[in-house]
Amino acid sequence: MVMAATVCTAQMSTGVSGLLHTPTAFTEKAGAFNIGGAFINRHMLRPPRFLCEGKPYDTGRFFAGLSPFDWLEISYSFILMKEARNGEPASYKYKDQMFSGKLRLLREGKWWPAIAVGGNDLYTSVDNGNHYFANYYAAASKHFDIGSEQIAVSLAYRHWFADYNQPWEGLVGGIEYSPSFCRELSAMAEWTGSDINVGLNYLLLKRVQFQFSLLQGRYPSGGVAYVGLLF
Amino acid sequence: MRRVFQSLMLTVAVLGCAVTARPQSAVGEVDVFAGVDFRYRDIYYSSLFETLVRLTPGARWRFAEGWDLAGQIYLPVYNEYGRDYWYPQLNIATVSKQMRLGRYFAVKASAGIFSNERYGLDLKGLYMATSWLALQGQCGVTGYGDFTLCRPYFPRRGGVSGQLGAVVYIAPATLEMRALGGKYVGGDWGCEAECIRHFKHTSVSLNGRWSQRLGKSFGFHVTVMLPPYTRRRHKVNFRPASNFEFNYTNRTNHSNNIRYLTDPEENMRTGWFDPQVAPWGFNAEHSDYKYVRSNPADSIQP
Repeated sequence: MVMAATVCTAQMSTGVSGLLHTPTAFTEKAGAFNIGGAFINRHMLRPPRFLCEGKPYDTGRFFAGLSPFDWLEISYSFILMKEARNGEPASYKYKDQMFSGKLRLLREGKWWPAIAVGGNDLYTSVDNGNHYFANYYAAASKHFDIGSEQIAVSLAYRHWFADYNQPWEGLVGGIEYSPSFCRELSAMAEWTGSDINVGLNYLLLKRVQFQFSLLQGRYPSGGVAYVGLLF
Repeated sequence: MRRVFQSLMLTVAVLGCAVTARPQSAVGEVDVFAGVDFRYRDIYYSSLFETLVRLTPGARWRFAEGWDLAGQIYLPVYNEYGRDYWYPQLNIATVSKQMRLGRYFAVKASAGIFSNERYGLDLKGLYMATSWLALQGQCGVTGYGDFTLCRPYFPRRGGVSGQLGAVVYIAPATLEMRALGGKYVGGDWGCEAECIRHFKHTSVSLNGRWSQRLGKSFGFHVTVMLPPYTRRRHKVNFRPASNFEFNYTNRTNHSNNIRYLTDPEENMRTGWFDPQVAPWGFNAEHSDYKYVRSNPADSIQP
């Protein structure tokens, strides 16, 4: 059995585990949970949504996730929306909520990858809901040992519902590297379907996860989360 | 205003959590406890969330075997819900008796003031059919009593309400599944299902419900048992609350699928009965607390 040594922590845009903005098939241990918040760069949000008075804006996302079993992850998150309504000045008083889930179908083995399916924002509580981030995916992920170093490679097919998210449609994936001298650190690079993002994860005292990323290699984004284990 | 009203009635999300407690009392012991009731709601476009924080002091006296006298009030500390919520609220004041009937059946009868502004009589039952299957039911005759000046959106009608359902417990996975249906306090007929995973000191559930008045809704529920997990017991015990509950419901109209609590210590993890009365499911195989009494023979080990 291959043991996952790379840092498997919350994706700051959903609350389930993954790379920066693309999914993986890895799942957390049963009982693992996270709660955190992230700065979302405006370049992560597709027009014509998330425009305030015609201009894109940076915002924040807050999330909480849980793995009730080691083959299932669920999370709740909401993103702040800046809008001007009822004649009031623009403010971040509005939000869009989202549920995410990931189901691992096949555990990673020595010769085969983990396989999982998942989705985000597929449910709405109001008629004709917005589904800004609605998508589902199938992903495969595998760890590789190179000497004492370890990398993880993930590949996924993702389908988005909204037309404005179509640039992220199709095959996506990335690579994660965790150095042997500092297993708490991992470096990631991913292809989102239209852009290349790079970033770092650092797990402080096994409880606090910091993430910093450069979207399209240029635009900073990041977040912090508390991660723990209920068992 | 119309949009605010629509938001209120059709609504978006109501979240709440509370710290309560459920210690294992012996006859003659009194528990005085306090926790925090924390709620927030998302019903107005004009604000991100509104929050309400209240202290929940309460007391419980086990005056005879299976007999409890319990009470709890809400004392507001921080309030964005409106002026009416600044008033203290009598939440629960009940006398209860729980007992075993035969080998498989446990019942609990309560009378007094229940949560959600109800008063009346209540009867709960659990039939432990097998080690993994139980049937449970609750039936009450209640009325609406305005026990506070605050005006929560609870149904004001009185009458009979009750639900009947089944519980399945899968021990190897510490997984519990419940399904029940019937008539709720608001007069609506409905049903609900819940899937609970029990962890070491935490239980997490995903739940869904249907009401003839609102339709479908769903949410999640978290119960965390708080440390310290070893507790010394005396005749009178002053202690913090022992668990923290968090509820999320994605839709509500404040009168759908409403039930009431008859005990300030009732929670999703430990259920209605003491484990000695109904040794079934997760309750039977796991205890969060070790109780140390002055007489070692009375100590209860997990």
